[in-house]
Amino acid sequence: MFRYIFKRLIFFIPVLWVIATITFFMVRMAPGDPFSDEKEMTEEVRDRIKAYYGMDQPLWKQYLIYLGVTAKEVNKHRVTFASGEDSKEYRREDVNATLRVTATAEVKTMQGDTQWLARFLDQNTTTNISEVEVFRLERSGLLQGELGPSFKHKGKSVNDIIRESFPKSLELGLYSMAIALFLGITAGAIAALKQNTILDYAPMSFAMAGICLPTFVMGPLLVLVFGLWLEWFPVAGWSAWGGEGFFPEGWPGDRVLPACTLGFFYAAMVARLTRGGMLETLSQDFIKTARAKGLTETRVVVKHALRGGLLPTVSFLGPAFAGIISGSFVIETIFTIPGLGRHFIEAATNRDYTLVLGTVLFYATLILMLNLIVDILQAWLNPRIRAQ
Amino acid sequence: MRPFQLIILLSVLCLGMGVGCGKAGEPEDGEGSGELIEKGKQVLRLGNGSEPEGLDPQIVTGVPEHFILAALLEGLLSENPRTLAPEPGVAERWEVSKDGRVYTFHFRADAKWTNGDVVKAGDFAYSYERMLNPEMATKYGYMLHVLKNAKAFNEGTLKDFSEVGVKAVDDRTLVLTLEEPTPYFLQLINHYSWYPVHPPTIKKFGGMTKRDSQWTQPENFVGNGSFRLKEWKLNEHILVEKSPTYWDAAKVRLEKIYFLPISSAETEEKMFRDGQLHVTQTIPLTRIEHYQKKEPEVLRVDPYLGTYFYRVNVNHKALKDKRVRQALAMAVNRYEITRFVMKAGQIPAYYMTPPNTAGYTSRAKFTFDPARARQLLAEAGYPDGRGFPKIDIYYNTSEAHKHVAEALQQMWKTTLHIDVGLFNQEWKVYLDTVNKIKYDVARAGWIGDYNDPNTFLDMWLTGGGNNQTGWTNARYDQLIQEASQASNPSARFEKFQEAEAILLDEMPVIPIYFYVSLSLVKPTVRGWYPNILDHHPYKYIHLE
Repeated sequence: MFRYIFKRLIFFIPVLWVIATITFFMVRMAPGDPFSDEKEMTEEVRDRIKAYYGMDQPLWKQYLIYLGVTAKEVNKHRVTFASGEDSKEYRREDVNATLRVTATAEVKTMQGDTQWLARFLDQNTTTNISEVEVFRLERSGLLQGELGPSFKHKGKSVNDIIRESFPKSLELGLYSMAIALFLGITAGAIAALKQNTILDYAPMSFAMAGICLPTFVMGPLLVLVFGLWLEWFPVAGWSAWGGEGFFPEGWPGDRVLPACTLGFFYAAMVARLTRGGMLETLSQDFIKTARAKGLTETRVVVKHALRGGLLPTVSFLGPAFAGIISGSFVIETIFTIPGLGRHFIEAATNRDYTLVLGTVLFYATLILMLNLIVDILQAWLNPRIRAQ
Repeated sequence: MRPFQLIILLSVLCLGMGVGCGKAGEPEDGEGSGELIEKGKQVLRLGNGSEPEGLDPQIVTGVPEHFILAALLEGLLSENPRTLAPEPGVAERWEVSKDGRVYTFHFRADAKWTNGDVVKAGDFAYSYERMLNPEMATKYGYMLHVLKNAKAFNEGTLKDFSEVGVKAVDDRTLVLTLEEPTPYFLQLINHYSWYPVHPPTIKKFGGMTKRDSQWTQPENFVGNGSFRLKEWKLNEHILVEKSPTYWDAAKVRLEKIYFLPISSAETEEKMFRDGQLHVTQTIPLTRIEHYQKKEPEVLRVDPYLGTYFYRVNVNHKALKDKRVRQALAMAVNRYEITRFVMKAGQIPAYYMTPPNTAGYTSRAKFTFDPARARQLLAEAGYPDGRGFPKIDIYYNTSEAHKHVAEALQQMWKTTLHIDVGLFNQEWKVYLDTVNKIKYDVARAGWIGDYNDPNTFLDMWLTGGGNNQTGWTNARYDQLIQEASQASNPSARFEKFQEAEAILLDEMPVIPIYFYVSLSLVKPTVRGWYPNILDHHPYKYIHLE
C-alpha cells in the first residue's frame, strides 16, 4: 500500500512539470500585455518594467529561471561615478549589507554576507560620467518553492496570494461539500429505493433543476429571497468569526447563501450519480441473495447496496472536491468572497503570467492529491479494485 | 465502519473542518468586515470598485487606488471638497513668482509622518526623484514633466537630479521651478503622483527603485495623511483608521474607513440595500430607473471630468478622408444614446473637452445632422453608402459598451447605409489592438487627470502615447505648444479654442457623451460633496 502511494507521489513530479511547461508557453502566447492599461506608457517605460520582471531575457531563459534551474539577477541597481571618482561605499538597508563599488566595476561586500557582482554599463565621453550596475544572483523558482511576484498585485508574491485566499475558498468549499454530500446521497438513495414513486420524481426533478440552474442564477435568486426579502442572511461579504451583528451571535451568516448556492449545485449531481449507482447495485444478484436470506431492508440497503452504489459518486468526488475547495469564480464574484477562485479568472484576464501559473499548478496539485485519495477510498469500498 | 455512517461522518467532518479553518484563519479581536453600518459609530464603508493594484502612489495608476491613497497621504496642498480650489496641506502657505515659473512652498511645523517624523521638504524632493528616476519606470512620471528638466531626467538623458527644478532650500521650504508657466499647476499637484513617500521606509524596503517593495504592507506603511493603514486583505477590504499624528487631526471626525473591493456592480448595489455600504462606486445600468423614481434621495448623479468617444483609424482606406469621419460623427443621435441607452443623465458630447473644464468650453462644435452627413459621404465618393467598405467597431467586452456600439451600428446603417460590424475583445487584447492601431473604429474613454482642458487636448499631439489614431497635424501641435507657453490665461484658452476647432474639423475622434459620476450615498453621510473630479476629502466627511 505504502509503496503504491509512494509510486504515485513520485509520478506527480513529471506531471506537474509538463503542466508548468505547457502553461508557461501558452500564457505567453496569448495576445496582450500584462502591464498595459487605458493610459498608455512610452516604449522605454514598458521596456524597463519588463526588464524589472526579467521579461527582457529570451523566453527559454525566462523558463529556466521560472523553474529555478538558472539564477536570476536581483537587487539590481546603478551606481554613477562622476569624473575622477573611482570608488563609492554605500549601504543597502534591505539586505543589510555595505558595499564598496569601484568605477571599474569591482564590488566588495564590506559588511554582510551576500555575494555581489557588478558590470560596467557605459561611460559618457563628454562628461566622463560612468555607470556601473550592481546585482546579486539568486535562484528562486519552482524548485525552490517560489512562484514569483504577481504582476498585477504589486508587492504581493503568488505564494502570499494563494496563502491568503485559499483558506477562504477551502472553508466555503467544505461547507458546500457537507451540504452536497448529505443532501445528495440521502436524496439519491431514497430515490433509488422508491423508484418511480413520488419520492423518486420529486428529488430527481429538483436535482435536474439544480444541475440546469447555473450558480449565477441560483445565487442571485437565493440572495433576493433570503437576503433582501426575508432578511435572514447578509447578501454578500466575508466577515470574521466572532464578529458582531450576525445570527446567531458570532457566527458569520454570510457563509450561508454562497455555501448553499454551491452546495445545491453539487448536491444535484451527487444525487443523480448516487441514484444511478444504487439502482445498478440493487438489481444485482448479491442483493437478491441478501433479501432471500431474510435480512431487513435497512440492512440490505445500508450494509450491502450503499457500498457499491456509492462508487460512481466517489470517483466523481475527487475532481469535484478539488474544484469546490479551490473556489468558484462565479460564487466569489457574486458574493464578494476573497477566495482563490477569482484569481484563476482575473489572473488570466490581467495576463498576470506568474499568478496564472501559480494558480494552475496549485489546482493541478490539488487534483492529483485528491484523485490519489479517491483511489484509496475506492479500494476500500470495492474489493475488486483492491485486488488490483 | 459502514458506508452510511461514512456519509454522515464525512458531511460533519467537512462542516467541522470548515468551521475550524475559518476560525483559525481570522483574527480574534473581531475586527473583520462583519461590522455592518452601525449607528453612532464613525465608521464609513465604501464600495471601491476593483482590488487596488497596490498602494505605492508612484506605481499605481487607477481610480480605486486614488480613493485609498487620498486617505493615507497628503500632498503639498489639499483641496476644497466643493470647488477643488487649493487649500493648505503639508504647506501652510505658498508663493508664485511673477512669471509663473517658480513656486515656493512653506511647510507647516506640525506636519508629521505616522511614525512621528516631521515631514520635510527633502522628503518631497526624494519622492519626486523616485518618481522621475528612469530605473523606476513609473507610468505617471509624465505628470511631473512640467518641472524644469524633469523630462530629460525621466528619459535618462540627464543624470544629475540637482538640475531638475526641485530644491529643498531647508527643511521647511521647497522651491519648484517649472519649464513653462502652468496655470493649472496647483490643481495638478493634488494628483497622487505628486504625493510624498517616506524616504527611510523606502530605503529600508529595497531602496529607491524597487517596484514591488514591501513598504506598502500595513505593518510597514508610513504615511502622512489623515488616516493610517490598519489592514489590507486581498479582495476583502482595506481598513484605515484616524491618524493621531496628522496635523489637522482635530478636524477629522471619521474613526475608520473600510474600502471594499466589489467588482460586480450588481452585488455592490445589493450590499448597499442590505445596509453593508454607505457609498457605492457605481450603479448597475438596470437599477438606475428604479432609483430615479423610487429613491432619488440616495442617488447621486454629478458631472464628471471625462469623455466617452470613438477613435477613428485615420489610415484606413475610407476613413482617411475627413469628410467620411465628419459624416460618421454627424450621423450619431447622441440624445438617444444618453436618454435610452445610458439612462443616467450623461451629457451628449459635440466637442472633446467636457463643458466648463476650469472655465473652458469649446466654441467649436458639430451637430447631429443626418442630411449633411449623407451629403458629406456622397462628396467623399460614397453616394448613399455605395462602394463604402465594411467597417468594424471594436470595443472591450462590457454590457454598456455593447449597447452603445449597437446603437451606433444601427444609426450608421440607417442614416448612411453603410455596413458596420461589431467586434468585441477582451480588455488586454483590445488595448493591444488600439495601441497598434489595428482597428477601424474603436470605443474609448478618457478621464481628466486634472481640471484643465490641457488633459483632453495634449493627448492628440503627433506621436503622443494616447493618440493611437495615427492622426497628425502640425498646426495643432504648434497651438498646444503655444498654449503651454502663454502666460496669460485667456490667451491660453484662445489657443485651445483654435486647437479644438481643428480637432473637430479633422475628427480623428468622435465624441459621444460626457461622463457623469454615479453613486448611491446613504443620507447619513455628511460632507460628501459633488465635484467634477469625484474627489471626496475624508476629513470633511462624517456620519450622522
